[in-house]
Amino acid sequence: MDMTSGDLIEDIRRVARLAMLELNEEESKQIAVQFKMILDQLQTLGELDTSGINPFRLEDMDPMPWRADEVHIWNRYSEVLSQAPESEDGYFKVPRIVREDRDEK
Amino acid sequence: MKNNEFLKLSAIELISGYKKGSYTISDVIETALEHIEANERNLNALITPMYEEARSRAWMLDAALSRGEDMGPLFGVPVVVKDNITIDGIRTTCGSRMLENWIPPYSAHVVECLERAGAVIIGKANMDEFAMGSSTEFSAFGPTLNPWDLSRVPGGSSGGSAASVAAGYAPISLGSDTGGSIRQPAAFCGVYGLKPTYGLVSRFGLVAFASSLDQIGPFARNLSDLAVVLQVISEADTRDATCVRKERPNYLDFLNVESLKGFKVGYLSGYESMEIDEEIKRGVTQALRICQDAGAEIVEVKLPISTRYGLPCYYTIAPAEASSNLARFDGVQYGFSVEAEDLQDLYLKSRGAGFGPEVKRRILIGTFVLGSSRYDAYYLQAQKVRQLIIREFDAAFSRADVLLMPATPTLPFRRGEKMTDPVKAYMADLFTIPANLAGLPGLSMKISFSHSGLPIGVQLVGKKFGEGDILKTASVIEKVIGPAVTTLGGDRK
Repeated sequence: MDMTSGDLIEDIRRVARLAMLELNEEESKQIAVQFKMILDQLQTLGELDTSGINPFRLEDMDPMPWRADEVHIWNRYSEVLSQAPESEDGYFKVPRIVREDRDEK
Repeated sequence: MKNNEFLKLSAIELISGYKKGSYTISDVIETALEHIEANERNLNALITPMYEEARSRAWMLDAALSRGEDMGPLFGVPVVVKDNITIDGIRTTCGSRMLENWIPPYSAHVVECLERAGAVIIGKANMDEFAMGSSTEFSAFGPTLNPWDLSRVPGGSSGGSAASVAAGYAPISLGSDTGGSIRQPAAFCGVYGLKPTYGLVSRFGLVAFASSLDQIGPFARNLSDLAVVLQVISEADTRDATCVRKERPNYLDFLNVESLKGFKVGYLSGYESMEIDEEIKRGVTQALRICQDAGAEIVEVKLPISTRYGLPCYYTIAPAEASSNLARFDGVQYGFSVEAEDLQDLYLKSRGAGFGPEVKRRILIGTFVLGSSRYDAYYLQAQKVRQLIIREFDAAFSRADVLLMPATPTLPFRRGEKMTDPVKAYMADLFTIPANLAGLPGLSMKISFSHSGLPIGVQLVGKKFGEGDILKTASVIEKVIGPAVTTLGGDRK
């Protein structure tokens, strides 16, 4: 895959949005340089012939054990909620989910 | 006994002193805490020292001892735990601003095991953020320094756990190893570090980085201590579905060997032409000779795919899993959060400001290789290569019982040396990554010191659940070269 640095920066911005990571201008540029070096390395995997290989071989694994379907009482909800930036009436509170201007686009 | 001498004792020696009444648990813990307080400004091995908790626990255990209660195998032994392993009520940061103030409401399985065994946890160890790094320089709480040479890194990501044991904070500690994060810092700090077989130790309460590779393991300064900790933490647990139920052997039994007759040690060939430190190559030769003198047959083993393609395979799979695992840090339920206009803004800004550079880099790589147009070429191909690596090890173990190789390509590098070039930094894990990809156990141990006074480590890799073979081989080596030592002086070989 051949990418010019402009393409790569745009690609990184797109991936960052998917990963929900805000990057500033400098971070994007710095990461673009490193990304190129890292991807060059990762692409060497293509040199190997892997035809006919099952990528998710599980036959030699022990079967996962079943556990009893039992109710365990755990009542430290207030501790958990106290870790949240905002909570109300026993629920996590978030800012509004739909913003009108985004909705129209 | 001078108080300072406590810091050099092994876990087993400490317990025998408690039994004889030579000193109390509080004496030992107080000495350890004072030593930590005096050294932390330099070393920065701990993110959260647990002064109050350790003191009151020591007092409680002394009282239990005076009542004649049964002593567990780690009774009164100070232990340091990596800060990605949860302890109920103690903040767990993962070396990240993201979890700077997170207080987990539950303890990891291994922590419960340590507590049942009577251990006294004295602090949470510094680490590269979310265990991503090989130098502990990517901690949001500042770097840990190498106790043998403060201008150098202690390795990573479990750098704080390794440095703590080398500096005499505690005789044992816990770390986690996803691509070498126990074995590489153990080699850099001159102590023992074991990554168990995938599935031997429960990951319940370990903050996930790459779930198919992560494993918790012990650091120690001698093999007996290491075996005891492994026994304690490897208790089966149903809360981690990948934790196997099979019965664990008594690991101490493997240390009583006199000879390696009938045992085959595989010597990894083909790496000599690579850029490996000469003193490390000599260390491997020295370890091989010891095995040979003890009666082992030395067989040549080649791992060309693992050595050449292990790194790119790992740096595809681990970030892919990390990008998924770290999606949970969203600024909503716990962890770092910033004011935002709407939910998407909250995600973007909290994650953008809460994660450091290496974590961001890996999340981006992971998201990239999992993208629908790239999935086959990158992620799926890496999974197939992982199968080739597994096959390669299967073939190697049809000829050898255990493999001997370097732990790292270089001696501890200088601080800042590899901060700007990630590809160069990733090379630090060259020899440790394959064992994670194949799910195999690996031990790194000090074989000697370099001319410049830095520890030289070698690595033993075993078959699945072959921890016994590793311990057996290592114990023959330990009998010749002696156990690992602290930086406190007076006992160095």
